[in-house]
Amino acid sequence: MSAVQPPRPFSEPSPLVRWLAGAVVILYAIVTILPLVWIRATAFKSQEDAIAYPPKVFFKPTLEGFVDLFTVQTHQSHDFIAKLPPPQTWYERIARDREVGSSRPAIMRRVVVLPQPDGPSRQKNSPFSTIKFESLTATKSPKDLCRD
Amino acid sequence: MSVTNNARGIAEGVAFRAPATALRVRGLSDRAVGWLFILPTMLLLLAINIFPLIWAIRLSFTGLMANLPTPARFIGIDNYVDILTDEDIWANFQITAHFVFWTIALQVLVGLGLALLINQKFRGHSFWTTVILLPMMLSPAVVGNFWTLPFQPQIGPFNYLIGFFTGAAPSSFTMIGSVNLAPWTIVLVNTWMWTPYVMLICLAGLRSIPDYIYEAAEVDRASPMGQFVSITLPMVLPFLMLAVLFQAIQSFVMFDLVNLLTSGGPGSTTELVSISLKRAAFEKWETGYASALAVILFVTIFGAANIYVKALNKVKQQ
Repeated sequence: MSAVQPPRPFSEPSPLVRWLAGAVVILYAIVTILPLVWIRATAFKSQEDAIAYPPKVFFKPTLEGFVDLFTVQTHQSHDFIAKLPPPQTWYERIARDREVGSSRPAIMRRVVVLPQPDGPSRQKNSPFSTIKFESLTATKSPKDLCRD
Repeated sequence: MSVTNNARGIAEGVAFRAPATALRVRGLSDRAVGWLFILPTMLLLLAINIFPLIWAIRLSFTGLMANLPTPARFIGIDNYVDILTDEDIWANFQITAHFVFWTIALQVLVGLGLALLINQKFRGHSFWTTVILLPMMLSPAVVGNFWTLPFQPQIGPFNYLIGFFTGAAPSSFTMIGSVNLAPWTIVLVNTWMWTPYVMLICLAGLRSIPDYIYEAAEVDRASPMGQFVSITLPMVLPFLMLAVLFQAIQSFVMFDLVNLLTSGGPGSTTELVSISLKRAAFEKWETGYASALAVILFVTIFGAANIYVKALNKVKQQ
């Protein structure tokens, strides 16, 4: 029994085989990881981008999904929001920007006010309240964004 | 030399005996200490595994409905007769069989193939192995939930890509809503999620084959195909069979992923037995009936797994 390992000339795969194997495995890895990457990207999309058609690969990242998730917001009239003092925090700005400044049809326009004195409370806000796909037997149009 | 050995033996004996004697002073024998260590686990197992099982077997002979205040009435084997003569349940078993068969077939094909390719040890293979393993690390509930987005007919990227490559309109088919496609959708997602598992076990099997066997085969002028058939395959087979066993059991009782993805729909085309079990137990509240179905499911899996393990042992001995 020799101390030095032989260089294994026999069972070593040829460079071409190795290259091909690598290409196939990497292709599979990329295909299999795409849905995950897509979901991760959707987390940083605005509501419009998330349901855009054709699906958007490049988009302006935003934290509004996370603001929705971790804060409690109430719908207010446009006049009410106009009277409010300017937003205090970054998340308040995000919430107001997208609800007031977006160019959606008038009926869709909703104004968001974050709770004023104490900041966000710990109340649970369902993350799926905005988009819920029901594609089993009855299909709902995804553009139908009316909440409540 | 023998003196020192003896001395060490005595020292070890003392060292081993010391704690036991210390405990015995407090009135506990070795055996009692042993029991004391096992007891919490045993109690836990009895409470959350064995007791519910026996309770379910008991309930399966009653016509109990858990949402009614009326006490359980013993009705003998009526539940079992009902289930085994119910064509819907047989249809559900058929759907489950379809699901298990195709899931396993695809997983073995892709998983073994990937393992063989990764075993070529190309540059960066360990990194890509980790990437491939990612789907397996997610919770099935998360997977079931998020796959509804790519399959959305109007805006889903999956439909868009299929439409892009085939030229069909993306909204012309619904992976989840169509009677023909839905059974394949659950197979696809389950395969996507669990192929890495089969791959991992196969890879472990491939790595355990010593190189010298291949070298000996080379010396004997065995062709690469011959090497694969008479070395690689037989040595990986026990591992592969183990992976198949785990995956078969797992797919047979699959609930969370499919329930969140299609919840048995459309109609009952993806209603696996576990989903009809849940519907009977928590939607129709036929607790006795559901218990009987659960017992049947359990006996089926238990029996099949036992037969399979016997076959596995035979393969291992070769």
